[in-house]
Amino acid sequence: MAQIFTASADTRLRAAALLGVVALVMALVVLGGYADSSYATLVGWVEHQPVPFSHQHHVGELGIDCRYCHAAAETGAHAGLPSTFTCMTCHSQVWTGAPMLAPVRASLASGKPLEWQRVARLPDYVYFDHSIHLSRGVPCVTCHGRVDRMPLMSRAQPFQMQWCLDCHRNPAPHLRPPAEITRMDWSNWDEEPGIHAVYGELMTKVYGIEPAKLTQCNICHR
Amino acid sequence: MTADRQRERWERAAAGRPEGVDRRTLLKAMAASLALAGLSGCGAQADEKALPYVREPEGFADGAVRWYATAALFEGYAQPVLGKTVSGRPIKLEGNPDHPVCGGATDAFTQAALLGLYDPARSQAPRREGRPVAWSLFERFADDLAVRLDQEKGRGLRLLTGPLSSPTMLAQIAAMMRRWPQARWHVSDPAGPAEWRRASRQLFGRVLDRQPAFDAAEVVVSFDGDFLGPGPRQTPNARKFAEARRRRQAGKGFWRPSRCRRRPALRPTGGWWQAPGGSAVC
Amino acid sequence: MSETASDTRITAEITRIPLHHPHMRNWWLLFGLSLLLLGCFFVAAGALFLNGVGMWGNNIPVNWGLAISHYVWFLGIGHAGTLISALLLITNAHWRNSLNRFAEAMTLFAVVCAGLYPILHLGRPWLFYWMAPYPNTMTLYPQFKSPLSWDFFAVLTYLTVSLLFWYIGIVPDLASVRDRAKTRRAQVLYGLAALGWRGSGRHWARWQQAYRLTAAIAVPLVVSVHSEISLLFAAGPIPGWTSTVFPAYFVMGAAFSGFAVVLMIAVTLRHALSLRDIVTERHLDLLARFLLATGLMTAYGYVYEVFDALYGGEKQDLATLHDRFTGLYAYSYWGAVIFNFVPLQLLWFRGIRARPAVLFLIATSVVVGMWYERYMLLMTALYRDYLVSSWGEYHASLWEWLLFAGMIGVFLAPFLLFVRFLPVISAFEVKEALRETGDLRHA
Repeated sequence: MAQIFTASADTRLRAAALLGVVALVMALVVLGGYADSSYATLVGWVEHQPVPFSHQHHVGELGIDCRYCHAAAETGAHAGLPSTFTCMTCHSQVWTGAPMLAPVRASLASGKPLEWQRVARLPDYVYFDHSIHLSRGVPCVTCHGRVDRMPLMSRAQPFQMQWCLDCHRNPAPHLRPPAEITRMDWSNWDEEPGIHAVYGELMTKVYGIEPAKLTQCNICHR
Repeated sequence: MTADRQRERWERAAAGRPEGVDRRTLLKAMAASLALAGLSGCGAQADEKALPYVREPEGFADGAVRWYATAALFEGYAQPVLGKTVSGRPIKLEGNPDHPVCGGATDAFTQAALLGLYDPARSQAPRREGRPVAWSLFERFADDLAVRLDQEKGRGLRLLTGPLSSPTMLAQIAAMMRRWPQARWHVSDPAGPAEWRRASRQLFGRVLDRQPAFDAAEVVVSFDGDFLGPGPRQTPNARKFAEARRRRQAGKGFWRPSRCRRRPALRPTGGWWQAPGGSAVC
Repeated sequence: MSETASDTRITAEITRIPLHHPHMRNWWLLFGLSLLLLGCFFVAAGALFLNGVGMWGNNIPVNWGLAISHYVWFLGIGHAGTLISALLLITNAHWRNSLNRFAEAMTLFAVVCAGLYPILHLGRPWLFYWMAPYPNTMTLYPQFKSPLSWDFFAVLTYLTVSLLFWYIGIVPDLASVRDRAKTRRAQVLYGLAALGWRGSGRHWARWQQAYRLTAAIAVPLVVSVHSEISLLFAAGPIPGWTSTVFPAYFVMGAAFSGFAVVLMIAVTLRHALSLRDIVTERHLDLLARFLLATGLMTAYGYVYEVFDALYGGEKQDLATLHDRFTGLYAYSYWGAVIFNFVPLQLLWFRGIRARPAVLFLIATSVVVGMWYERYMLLMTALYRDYLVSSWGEYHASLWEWLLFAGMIGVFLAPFLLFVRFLPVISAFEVKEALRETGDLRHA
């Protein structure tokens, strides 16, 4: 009877088994890498918008406060996008004929809203309230990034649960004076350590923030 | 549309077979949904667009709660409620605490009335022969109809409503009936208090409503009447009843409710006098 | 090692089954039936995935319905396989060698069925892997205080060890089948599965080490897995689940139901595959004795539970006890007592133990009785909570019964494939036993 397997069959079987293990490990690494990649989290990816609105120009160069357009940030759950009417408070006076702004004028004339693509979006199963974060002094820049340097808006943070929890587990270093929350550049905040080093710790006590409660499931998943 | 086709349509509709979905399509859709069910676990939801207002209402804050005082109908009676809305969406009904009838309380039916707004079968547009049409079409149709009805004094017009108690609506219907005297108005009220209506007509010669003042009563006798049970006056009745009992508990006045009943009903049992000889006597 | 005549006969007798199955028509009939049941499983599970657990009858307060009672039942059945294989291997009980292979296979498939139940019982079954601790973007780890994660580890460990043990054991026999296979395809497939086994001295030495080692790992599982299940009950403040006898009671009940199933399979295979020389009357007799012994220990658990409630005098425990005897689900208690212990008493007689058909019926009665017991333990404790406001009844929906029928298919279909394509009895171990005892009948 002829041999079924050649002498090297054992080696090949072992190599195949090894290859299987390597492939499994690789698959896990690739999956994990994908979950954290900007391709999955959309960090830095620009969405196509009806009007190429530049935060860099409006915030960085003109110095318009965030709350001028996102008026409900301090009082509502959503920061809200500006109504067409808000855009036209200025653009009925400046850049009145700019072709770039044609959709805005069309929206005002027709009464149909502008259709923006959402950039900073949370899943439906996450409860998030802007007002509480702002009133405790989490500045805009923490979650939305340096919008004053974004010609076109893109997501600045991955918005994964681990990122949310990083802050909820230790909120103190992220707190700033609520009066200055729209400030973009906090690089010199730490230059006065005598005052600022204790600010967060102090404010968590003042506000009664308890990290143990902030990490409970139903804080965000209601 | 010819009369033949119309009749055919009617017959098909009357046979109870839904249009548009036949057996094969349904089975295909079921097979596809079964096959694709496994995929529902993976994949993100499609991104939805953000649509801001063109002109934002005064004082609007996206995601903040707003309350509106309004009314929800229950068997034709307005229940005074506060509607809770978030971003323009009603999400909860509560009793209006400033209203003398309910004082902030509601019943289960009024609570559930909110779901009617989200009923997928709720009509989004006027329908003509089962198809949704524009309001302008309905207006033209109504104008033409009005001209014809004026000539014929309303012959052939049938108005079908649920039970109503709104003075404005009743006045409008009365005006319509004066204009078109031969029209007929039907009220569909299958669960309404038919017995009470008959009784009140026999007693008083006309249909009257009842407004029991439990809070003013010394003795309440109920003959198989579930006066705290479901109905449009559930909330005020329960309130007045509770008030009377509270008064007795505070030692003020003699108050004794009694019951004779055949079937169990929602009523507290403490301090009740039950008719002797079992429950089937009265 | 020189081959004697009886050695060759045993190898031939066992390896002929996968190569030339004796009863193909009956096998196809059974396999067709089990495929039908498997189809039921896919329908029931698919409908469950589409609609959620709301299709089932379980709700507060009876939130563990048939799903969990079947989970416990299947996992319990699996226990006998491990007990026979591992514990009896280590204690050098040679008679096990005629039984261990199919007992292990039975364990494997029963654990698969058991493992599916908690997963299907989840609200979102497709996220079951959340029970595993793995690095994730949520920085969330399983709640180790939750019985659900205990289930996960218990079932996964049990499944892995059972699979390894069964496979290590079957390798030398797969090589025998490979050597006797006639067709090229069978040679290659069995050859791959045999992992290049050549039967050299070194192979046997390594194999012995691996087999004994896996057996040593498996032995604690006999006790630990069902103890975990019983503690999973005890973790809830439910009257009737708090007795300290629970772990022992569960393990014994598990072994009891498992021996019953092994006995059923042994009788069936012995008859269907004409293995009377290998699975002898002595084997059936021993299995019956084990069944009687574990059954009496389980009965002790029943008695102790009653004693515990009476001696403790806790009002709620007494109420639960009363409910067991006379309540809505009393039929499950009396069903368990009658099916488990009444026919069992026949096993005291040597004559009965020698009659396979009677043994089969008694074993079936035990399997039914143990089903009642699992059901009774869940229902009588859950449907009457401490507060009257949280009393409620449970009635299994048709979907749960369909899933149960499907689970039987999940068990039967691979088991029948095993019977068809793999050596159902460990030929070399039988030969080994023969060598060491001198006679297959262990005279």
